Amino acid sequence: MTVFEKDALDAIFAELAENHADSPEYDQLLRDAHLAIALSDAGKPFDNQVDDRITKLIASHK
Amino acid sequence: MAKPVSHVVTRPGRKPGDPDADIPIAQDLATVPGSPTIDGDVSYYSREYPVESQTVEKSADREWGWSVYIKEVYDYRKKHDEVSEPLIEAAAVSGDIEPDTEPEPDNDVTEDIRAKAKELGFGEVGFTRYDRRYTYTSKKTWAKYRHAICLALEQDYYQTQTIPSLEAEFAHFGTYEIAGELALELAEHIRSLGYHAQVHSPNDNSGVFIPLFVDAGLGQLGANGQLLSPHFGSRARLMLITTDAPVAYDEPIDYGINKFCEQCQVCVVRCPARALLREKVWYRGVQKNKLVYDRCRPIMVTYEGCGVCMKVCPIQRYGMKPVMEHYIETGDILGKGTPNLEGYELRGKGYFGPGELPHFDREAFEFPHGTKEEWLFKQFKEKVEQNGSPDADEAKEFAENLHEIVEAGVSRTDE
Repeated sequence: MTVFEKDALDAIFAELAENHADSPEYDQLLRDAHLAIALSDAGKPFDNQVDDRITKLIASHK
Repeated sequence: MAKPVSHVVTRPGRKPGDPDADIPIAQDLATVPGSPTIDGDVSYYSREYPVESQTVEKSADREWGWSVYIKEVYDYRKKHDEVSEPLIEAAAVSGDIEPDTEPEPDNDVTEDIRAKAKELGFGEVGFTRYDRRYTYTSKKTWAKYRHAICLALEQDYYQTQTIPSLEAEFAHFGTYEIAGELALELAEHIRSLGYHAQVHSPNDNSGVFIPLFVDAGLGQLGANGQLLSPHFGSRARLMLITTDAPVAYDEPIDYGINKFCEQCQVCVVRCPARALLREKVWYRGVQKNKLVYDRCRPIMVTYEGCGVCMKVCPIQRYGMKPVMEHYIETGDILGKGTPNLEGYELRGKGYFGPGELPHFDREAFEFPHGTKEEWLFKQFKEKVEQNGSPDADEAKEFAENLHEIVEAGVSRTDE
């Protein structure tokens, strides 16, 4: 199973901050991103547990 | 194949308005509600070896810490102390303030107080007996009232994930500042109901708080020595209000943490100081993981409060529900072994991914031990052993230093 390494993680969180850091939703999106990465690293689907924007973000960095 | 479920714990959602969270606990994680405890041993140790604040018992390293902080941490801690001072003073006398009114007879105010605490922003609120066995010796005569209101305030999620960093220290101490203010407001509310309320300032701790939080069902003790609560894991700052309001007690809960941490061990293997022990021990009547203070403290002081054990806890990072669901489904620990959960950077040392730990020289773990006077005496004794009888100037210097320490007396029990 391939997991997200540091460079990819830095890129994901940089993109998330760039697009949403000023949003009141940022805190929740950040939580979702961490959960999505963990589920992805475990090879599991997200099953509506995370925001769609996070699903797309993670997919774009895979 | 999915693991069989022992029971499902239902807790209120993380924020007001969130749906309840149903947390399934696997059969192989079920042990006891709260902590495995031998009550008689807790009583024995509290009587024969009463607990005391580390700020009192280990005052030598508390003072030493100020000489080790990087400038940014030093400046911030000074500022935090200034901000906290009036909160501490207000809390210190809060128990003596008389209620504004007579209480309504036969009116259970438990849910009123809980609702007010939640409205103020406390994420977890529970009620239990104020167990004085966990009160510090230096606070025994100060602490009043029989009932404890356990209050947990979540610290910022983003900042916590930057541990260890100055940013995370803002979250750590900033949360205590906010909690101190909110608690004074909650105490006023309790007085408006006709009862006394004593605020145990989080910046001047009155005792060991975690056992009370466990008894109030707000979480269980993790291998990192922190309370693991359902939504925050260890990302919460704890404080108490004691009161004479006749509240209904909550019950301890088995969240499966006692066994989960045995399986997980991420904090144990990721601790940069190698300060956490794999095996539990019986300590003062409670079965728990103990950390090695002499390894933890110097790294904590040197590296912005460290806190790696908090950051890498999967319950902190993802919340208890998805972690427990993942365990039941796969038998695995969510995030374990991945850079996202286990990676961290230490200033001047670089990045450490899963399986990698920093190296420290032996000198990194050398620091003053015990109280300031014990440390002063130890140094003086070593000098005498090396050089023979002290001359008049050396003896005078020792006496003056000792006098200074005695004059300063016991200060706050913060940290």
